[in-house]
Amino acid sequence: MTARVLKGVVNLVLGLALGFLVVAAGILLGAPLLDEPLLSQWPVVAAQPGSDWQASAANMEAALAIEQGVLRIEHFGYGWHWALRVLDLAISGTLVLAGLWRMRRFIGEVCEGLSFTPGSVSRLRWIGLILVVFPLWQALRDTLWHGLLVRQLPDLGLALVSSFQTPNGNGFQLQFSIDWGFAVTGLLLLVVAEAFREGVALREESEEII
Amino acid sequence: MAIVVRLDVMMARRKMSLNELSARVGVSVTNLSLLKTGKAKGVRFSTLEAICRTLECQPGDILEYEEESK
Repeated sequence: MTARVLKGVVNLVLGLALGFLVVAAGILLGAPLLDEPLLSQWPVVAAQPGSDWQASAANMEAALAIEQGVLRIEHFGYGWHWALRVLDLAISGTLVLAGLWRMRRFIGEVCEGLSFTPGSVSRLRWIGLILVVFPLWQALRDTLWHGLLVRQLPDLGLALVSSFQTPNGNGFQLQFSIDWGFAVTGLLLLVVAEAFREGVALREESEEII
Repeated sequence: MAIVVRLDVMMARRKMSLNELSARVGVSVTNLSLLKTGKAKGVRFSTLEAICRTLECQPGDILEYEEESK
């Protein structure tokens, strides 16, 4: 894929991300006003796996063990859940847009043949840093959500514990929904940025040789 | 630096201006000026060859080694 095609793809992704964020902000701000619910869902693991189905044949035995599921919650109106979602959208949206914007500038410089400049190194570093920070924010966000859910849901009769606790009996444990692939990609980009920094030094030295 | 560029001396001997040398060697006036004032970090063999051909001299006429005073 050429740099020019990549620039088009990045522009398209940036436009889609911006559109998605505007729509998400609209839903988030409009739902409580229209008395519509906001849906949240969280992966959970059961303390004791369910085994509703068992079968055996001549040379095999099979059992279905259901231990993972999704906890879906509908929230109405304003409250802590709404504030957390606004915070999540603001921080996640800022990180995504900032990363894509820097990627757009970087690919623009590559198209102009200005790959090895201090500016491109700085942009690569920022993209790497954003990708490393993103799953850390996801972890913090999940921790905040889990704390609030664990405090509120037992009132509704669900034995729920956070990821740091062990469920007992027929309880459930909330799971983190973090994508560590972002952090690995971010670290890789930070390494590439260092290689680009070396490239800038080499280019500058080469320019001083006549 | 211990290597001293004597380009200005050779240009004066051949009565050649920087602009003329630049046009005949194919190196920009800015770069030749950097070379002449000793601000360049290095010189490529191809550039040195073109300068020597134009000024009808040897590399030793342009570059000299001077021991640095401590």
